[in-house]
Amino acid sequence: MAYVELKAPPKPSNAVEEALADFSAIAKGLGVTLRHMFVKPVTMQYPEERPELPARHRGRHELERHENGLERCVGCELCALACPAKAIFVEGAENPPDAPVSIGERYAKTWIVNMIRCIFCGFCVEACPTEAVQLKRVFELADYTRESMIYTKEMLLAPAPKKEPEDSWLPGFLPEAAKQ
Amino acid sequence: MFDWISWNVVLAVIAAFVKAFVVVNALLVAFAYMTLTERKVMGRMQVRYGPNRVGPFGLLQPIADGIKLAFKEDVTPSQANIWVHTIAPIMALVPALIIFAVIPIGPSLLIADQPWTWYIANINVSYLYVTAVASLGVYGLVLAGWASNNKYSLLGGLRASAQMISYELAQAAAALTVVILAGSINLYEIVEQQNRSLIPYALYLPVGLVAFAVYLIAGVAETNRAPFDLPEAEGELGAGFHTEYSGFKWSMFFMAEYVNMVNVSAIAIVLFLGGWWPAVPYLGETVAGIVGPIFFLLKLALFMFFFIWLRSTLPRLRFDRLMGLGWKVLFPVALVNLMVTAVIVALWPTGVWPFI
Amino acid sequence: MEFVVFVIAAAVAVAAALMMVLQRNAMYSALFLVLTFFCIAVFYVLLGAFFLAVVQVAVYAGAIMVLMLFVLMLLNVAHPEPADRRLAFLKPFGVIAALVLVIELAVAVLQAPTEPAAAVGGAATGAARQATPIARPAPATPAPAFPLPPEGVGAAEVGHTQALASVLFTRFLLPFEVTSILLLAAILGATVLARKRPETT
Repeated sequence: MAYVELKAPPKPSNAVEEALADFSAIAKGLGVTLRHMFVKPVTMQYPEERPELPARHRGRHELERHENGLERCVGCELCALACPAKAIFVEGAENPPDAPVSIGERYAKTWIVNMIRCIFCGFCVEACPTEAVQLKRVFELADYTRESMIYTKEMLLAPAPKKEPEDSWLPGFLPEAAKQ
Repeated sequence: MFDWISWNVVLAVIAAFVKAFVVVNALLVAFAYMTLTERKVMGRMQVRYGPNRVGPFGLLQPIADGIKLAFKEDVTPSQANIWVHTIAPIMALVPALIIFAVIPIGPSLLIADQPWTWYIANINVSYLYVTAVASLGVYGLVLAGWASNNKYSLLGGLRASAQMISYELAQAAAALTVVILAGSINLYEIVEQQNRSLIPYALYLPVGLVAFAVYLIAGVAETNRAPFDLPEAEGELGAGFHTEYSGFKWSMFFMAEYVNMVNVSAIAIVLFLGGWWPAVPYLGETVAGIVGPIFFLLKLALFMFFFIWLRSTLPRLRFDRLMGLGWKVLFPVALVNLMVTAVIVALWPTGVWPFI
Repeated sequence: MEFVVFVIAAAVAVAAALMMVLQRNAMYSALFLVLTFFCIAVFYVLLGAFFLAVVQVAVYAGAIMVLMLFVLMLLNVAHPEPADRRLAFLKPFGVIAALVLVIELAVAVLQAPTEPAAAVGGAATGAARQATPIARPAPATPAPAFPLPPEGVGAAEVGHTQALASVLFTRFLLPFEVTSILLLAAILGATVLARKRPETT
């Protein structure tokens, strides 16, 4: 929609002119509404049509992995410290030497975020030294109980090792939509 | 003892009851689907879809709304006047429903030597009946405003009474123009006249057109529709006279509003647009008797669309401008128009269309 | 059937009128008065005077009582005060006036002709329920484009509108016009009273 330039109408000199000006203004308005009846609605039919969210949309957290499948998170708890809403709880543990979970010495035994508290500020992402925490484009977080709003590590962990992180905000990994 | 009962009378009474039943139900179904149509049309005018989830194209939305409203808690404020609070919606709805009794929607015809009429009653003073009953509708609004014991409701009720009494005058003066032209206050006779002279009264220049315009504007104000919805101005008064209403009583006010829209439109069609006009002079008696109501309903649909169109276009008037428009513009215009019509009819009783 | 309707309407009318007088809340009084008007309109319909019935509803119930309610709402008489003691001396006068009215009505009813009056006079009193055709006055100008209802229609069919109009504009023209002037004077008076004084604005 283009902006409409507003001009002050010429002042009517008598009652008849004024009435005519009023009627033409009403007719103009009626014309605008009638024309818009045939404009395609901008409404998104949500559950069937999905919104194309921007690449840096801050939705649900995800715990990333390295390309070899090991977790990036080293259980340093910096995200929990950075969180202004105190929504994140991390409990670190020593990596088992025979079956390491992450690359470093330690890994996150529990990594819990309370989605009722989370304000999606993204400070956890900034605080993370290993780029393990990411806010992804998942936005359908509504649920019926408080308990179900607590997301555990199992729910947040990136599923399978991938060749390249498709959704990283890092330069060079920008998806097609963000490059434009 | 019962010798005054004749079968014709019994049949007529049964027919009247059946017709009344059909008309009342048709009006209420029309109300339900008018709400849907209004939401959809206004949606499209605002470049969105409107309700389209319940049933195909949202066609079951009115039923869902009805169920919701029927089961909603019916709140009565503790300081409200319970009796008046309860009868107010009834007093708003009943006049709206009984107006349609005298509105003829099609020409009478004979089916198997039995007269069939497209109205419930054909009383001689049917237009006056309409004005009388329509003027009772204001009680519902005023009493609702008063009984709610709420300042906003009271203001809404006051606005309703002032507005409806003021615009009734202009409306009646505009309609009287047609009454003079037709020489009758019988609505059926008025439509017959237009069909006989082949031209609906809205095309009688200039008086018919002016009267039609005044009637239309006053009619919108009478039904309290936007841009004259001052009694329920949500920005200023909460919801005006029905602020304290919920559930079924609330929906009765809305039924009254929409049925009144239908009534005003139907009367405008009867008075100014010749009712089933193009049907009778061109299609012959029998065909017109069956197709006539379709013409009428088509015009009615156009009027309904016009009401919705106005609502989605025009902003609400300020109250003093509303009264100014009614008393200083519409009423004098209608009165002068009425006098001009009377003079013309007195001078040229045979008619000098198009400048009658 | 007419009798049944009459009895019901009469009972409701009397009850509503009594309630109107006995109610302490002015709002209720007004509402019961509206109900009384309705019952009177029903009587008019029973007498075949549709025009009067409709005008009764339109003017009294539809316009005047709405204005009364308007005033009552503006004055906000939700809690009626006890009657002013200074006006107590008026009570006997009220009783006397009511008695006089009752006697007048009784005399009028007892002296009323039991036979239906002549067609024109009966129309004005609403007593001509018989189906004798009313002599329709010849129109001043022949009006083919604006015809009057067909000839030979009974009084009940015409609904007394024409009879009423012809009586109103011939025999009772002077009272009619005097009433108009009275109303005009009332309108002017209201306008003058409601107008703002120039020095106060």
